Amino acid sequence: MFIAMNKKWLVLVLSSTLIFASLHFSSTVARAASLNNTSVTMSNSRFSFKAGSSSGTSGSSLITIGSSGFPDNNTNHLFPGNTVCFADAGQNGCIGSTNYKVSNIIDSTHFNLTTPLSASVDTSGYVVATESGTWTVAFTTVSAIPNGGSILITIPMADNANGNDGIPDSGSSILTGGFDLNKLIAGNIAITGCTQANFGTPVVTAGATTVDHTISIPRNTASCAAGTAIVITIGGNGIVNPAPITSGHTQGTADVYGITVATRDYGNNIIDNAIPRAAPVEAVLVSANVDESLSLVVAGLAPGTYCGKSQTITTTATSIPWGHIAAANTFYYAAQTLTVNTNAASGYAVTIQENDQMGKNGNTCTGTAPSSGDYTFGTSTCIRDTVCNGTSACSETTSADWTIPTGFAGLGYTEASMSGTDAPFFYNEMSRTWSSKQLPDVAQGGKTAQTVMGNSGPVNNSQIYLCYTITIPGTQPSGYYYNIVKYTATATF
Amino acid sequence: MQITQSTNKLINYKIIIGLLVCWFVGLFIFPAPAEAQEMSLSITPPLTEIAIQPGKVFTQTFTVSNDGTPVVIKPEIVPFVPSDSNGHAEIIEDQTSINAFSSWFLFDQTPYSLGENSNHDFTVKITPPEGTPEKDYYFTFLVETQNDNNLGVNNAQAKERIGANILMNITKDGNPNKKASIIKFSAPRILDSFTGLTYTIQLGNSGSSFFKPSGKITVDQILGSTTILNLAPLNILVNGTREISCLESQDLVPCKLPGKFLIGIYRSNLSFTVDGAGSTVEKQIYTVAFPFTIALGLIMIGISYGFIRKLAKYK
Repeated sequence: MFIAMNKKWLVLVLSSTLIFASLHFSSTVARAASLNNTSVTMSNSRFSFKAGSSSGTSGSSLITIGSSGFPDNNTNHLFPGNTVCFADAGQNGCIGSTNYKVSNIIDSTHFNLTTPLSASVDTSGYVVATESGTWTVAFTTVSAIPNGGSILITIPMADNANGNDGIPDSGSSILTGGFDLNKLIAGNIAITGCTQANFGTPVVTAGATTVDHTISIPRNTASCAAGTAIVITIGGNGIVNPAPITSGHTQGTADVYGITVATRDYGNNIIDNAIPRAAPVEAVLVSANVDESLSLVVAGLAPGTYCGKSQTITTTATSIPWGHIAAANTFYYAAQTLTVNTNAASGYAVTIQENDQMGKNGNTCTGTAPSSGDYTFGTSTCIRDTVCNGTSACSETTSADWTIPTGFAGLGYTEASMSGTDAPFFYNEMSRTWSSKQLPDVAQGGKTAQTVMGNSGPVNNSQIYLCYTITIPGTQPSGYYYNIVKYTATATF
Repeated sequence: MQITQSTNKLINYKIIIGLLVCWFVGLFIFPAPAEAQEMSLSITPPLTEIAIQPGKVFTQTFTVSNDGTPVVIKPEIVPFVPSDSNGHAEIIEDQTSINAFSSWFLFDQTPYSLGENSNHDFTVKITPPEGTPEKDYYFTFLVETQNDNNLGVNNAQAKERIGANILMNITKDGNPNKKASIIKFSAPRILDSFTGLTYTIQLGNSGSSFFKPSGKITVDQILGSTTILNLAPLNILVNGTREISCLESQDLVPCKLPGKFLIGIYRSNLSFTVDGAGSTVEKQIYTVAFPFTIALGLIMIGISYGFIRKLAKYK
């Protein structure tokens, strides 16, 4: 009976032990699940440039690259301003530890440097433009990371390359290509989430031969709960992006590499993992040439109020049609707009001049003032240039108020700013009502063209109203009077 | 029946005539709104600087663009002289002056019809003849709109001209005599601490070729900091002077010492070379900054206080 009982107990104990053991082991060797919200963000996703340095002699800035057999076989992915260096065939760093800048791309296999080479290139070597950047690896744990567990990040390295020297690497395919750690150290890695202090010092192991790079971050003191967001930043010199794979790569298409992120228990068994993708690709050069230029726009205006006065006629870009001047000793107003754009560094000036005073049927008005009365110029009849409120109150260089139409007949102009501050005088300057000037009569009066707009630097849409005024005496002979006004825009030398 | 048909025809004609009359009258009563009309020309490059040997050829292309209504344009090249010390040009338009240089320039002078949003390249071959004296010559490539004879009643016609300046130095050996002088370098000798320290710089050209100054103003506060103001590389034409601004990034700005409160002695040294080469031209000036307004305020307070005290004693 006792033996039978003992046997029963023995069977019970053994069974319990087996069940307990199986439960125990089944819980520690967890079935790996996928980490949530996993991503790898590269601050610079541009491929490194790596081509054969076919020729380039000391003292010259002209470089020729090889056209086949290298990750890059043309200059399509090399841009002005890129930093390049030249490595020998063994890729033992940059020759002379010297970097150069690309000045311009000549054609698909030639480019210029901004400074001459201090040593000739190795014609069996490489020209490289290294592209590197910070990585941000993010994920959310699905299961807890136990105390003593770790996070493991595996980064592909190019097979049989020196994957930790800062020189970009490449393989014939994605499987044999990969990234260069660029002398990454533990201090270059930061981790946030799940109480940072409970993560130990990362262990960076550069790959070798066909073994990829790994970064292991131990979990100490306390476990990290399931559902926790973790962000790991890998900085330092920046992980160097590979050059394009040498077989089957199409420019403009990314080479997609898998980065393995895993959580592990204290026995380094994988708890959860995921393989987010890092996809370097060629950059696109966006370029444009902006020429230095100067533009002047002259435009007419519909009836309205300009320079504070009412204009009843419609002006065009090419004419100020006063029409029938119905009333003598009355001011009539008309305006145009002038608009200037220039990127010339030292600015511009717009001048105004007239070919003559307004002559009857275009007759010549010799001199600057009538030989007698208000409109007689020798044998000709003209509408004279204004003298404002006085016998010679204003000229083409000096402005004065012009408020009295009777006894002070003529044609004059003033200005108002629409945009910018490029007008040299204004209709309401010095508390005047209508501060005016004469039009410079260059051909018949021997005057000098005068500036109506100007600036000592570049301007964007500087705009003024140029406002004309006319009034005639009651005795002005009937007829058709006209002249031609010229606006001349030139850049400041 | 015939009467009815002819009556109908008559009514139809009346309706048609009536509609035509209404349309005709409507043209005058409700005129179509005038559309915006613009002359809009631009030119590139606006400034060309060349040094050339007599008898050699230099080719320059000027692109004229029209963003306004279609225009007919006519090109010409005229001499210019500096009109002031700010880089403005005075175009010389007398025919004798223009004709004197007409053989130097070969380009198509035929008026050209330029449509809306179109451009035209004027290629100018510049060949100063053999034996041309070695010195500077200044020209403006001008494009002028040609007006139609839209004679109306009492009209002032407007023409637009746009020009690109050409600074040309004739030199046989490519090494013209460039000579600079400081016409004016000034700043207040004594100023209030709250008044900014602004410099006036005027440089002259007594050589035989235009040049740009390359230099700076070094402002040393005695027992204090040093500030550098970079001169703007503006062209100074032969026998001319130029007010020089300072350069801040890409902008021309007045040469002014930054800072809201100045105190002490400031030593300002203007130094520049001609086109970045040759010997340095220098001049030094001193400025004393003192808070006169504060001192004056304190004196006024002191006087007022003394006056009030005296007044109180007297009472």
